[in-house]
Amino acid sequence: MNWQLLYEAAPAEEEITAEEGETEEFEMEIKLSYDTLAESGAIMLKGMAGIFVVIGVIILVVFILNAIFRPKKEA
Amino acid sequence: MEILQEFLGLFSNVANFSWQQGVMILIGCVLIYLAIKKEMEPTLLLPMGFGAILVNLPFVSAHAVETLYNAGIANELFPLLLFIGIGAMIDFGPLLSNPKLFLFGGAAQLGIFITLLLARLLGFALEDAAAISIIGAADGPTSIFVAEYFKSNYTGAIIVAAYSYMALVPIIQPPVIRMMTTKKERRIRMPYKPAAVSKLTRILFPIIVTVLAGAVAPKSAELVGFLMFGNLLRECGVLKSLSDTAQNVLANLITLVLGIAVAFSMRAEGFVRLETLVIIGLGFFAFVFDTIGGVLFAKLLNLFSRSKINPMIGAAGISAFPMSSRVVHKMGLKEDPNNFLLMHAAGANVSGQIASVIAGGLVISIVEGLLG
Repeated sequence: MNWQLLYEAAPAEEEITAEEGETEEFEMEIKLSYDTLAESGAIMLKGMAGIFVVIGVIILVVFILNAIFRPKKEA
Repeated sequence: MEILQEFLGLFSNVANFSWQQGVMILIGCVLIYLAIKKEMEPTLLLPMGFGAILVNLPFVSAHAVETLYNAGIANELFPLLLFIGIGAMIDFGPLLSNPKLFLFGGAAQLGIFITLLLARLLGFALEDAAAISIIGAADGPTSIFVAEYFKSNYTGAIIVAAYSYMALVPIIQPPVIRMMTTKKERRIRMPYKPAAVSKLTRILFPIIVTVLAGAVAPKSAELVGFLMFGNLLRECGVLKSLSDTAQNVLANLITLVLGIAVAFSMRAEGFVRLETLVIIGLGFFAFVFDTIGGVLFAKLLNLFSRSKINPMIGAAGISAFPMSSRVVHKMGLKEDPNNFLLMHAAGANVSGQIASVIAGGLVISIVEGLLG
């Protein structure tokens, strides 16, 4: 379990310990990583493209079904 | 004196309360309050709230809750069973008569990927970011399924965020829609002229969609399949009792146990931390960008379409059914009392259900591929 996702990793030579009555404070680190951006952007492009491809095929199939199986009109 | 000491010893467990457990019990009470007083998703929030109280009492073993969790959440079974009920409740008629509405369901999944990007920027691991991003699917079972698939450390926070924001759609969406549209655009009328849909089309649709989704995004096959199975029960016309059971007994039973089982992931040690607040914040952005994605797509289509689309219909493409369609319909009536957008919005809303499930499967496939 990776607990260091948002917390500043403590340096090996310093040991942060909470003494009685004190609270440990951690800073939230926002890492703006170009690698992360590029990877996430690629996931977004692939994901949205994939959704629209599947939906496009579904739309096509529904159009075909509606064209082939028109409901019978009442006489 | 000894008797008094023994009597006081019965209450010694009170001293074992940690502040984190106190916070979780308070959160449980808030969820129950929201469920009862504000009627926000009571079917989920009340069991979750009560379960949160139960599992955060000191030295309570909560074996039964853990057993329920392992029986249906950890193995993703309960969300799939719930989808049978949801599929049986959905009428795809308005969507089948106007298939273009499917596009809005797709566009309104933008929030998933924007949230994934934001979560990665904030330092979450890829699998956790993927689990968090699926809050943007605005679908409880899908959120649970994906979060458990990636064995996310934040399942509890993700589920609470997903269901809470689904209930808050009437509050979140209107200001975003107003920000993204002009008054003139909100007044665009869309007459409803449904094309008739044959019974055979209604029967073939769930089968074909299952095959398609399985072929393109295999990880979504189970999710889509169970949803479509429920719909097939409804549309086949020969299984009315099973359809009624799925819509009522099954859906209610699974919802009941799912709500309390999910509470197992709301124990204090895993829930009371800074990441939970961040995830709740990310969930908000997910819903906002879902709405923006749908509205912008509708405006884009208007550039090429002869018959104008009311951009608010795009906002109804999120999976929060039927709240989002009602929100859009009400906003349309407010702008023009003679503009009835409900059926168009319902079609887009229902398409969001399918699109969100496909999105969940695609997120799993893509992220799993990257993780190797």
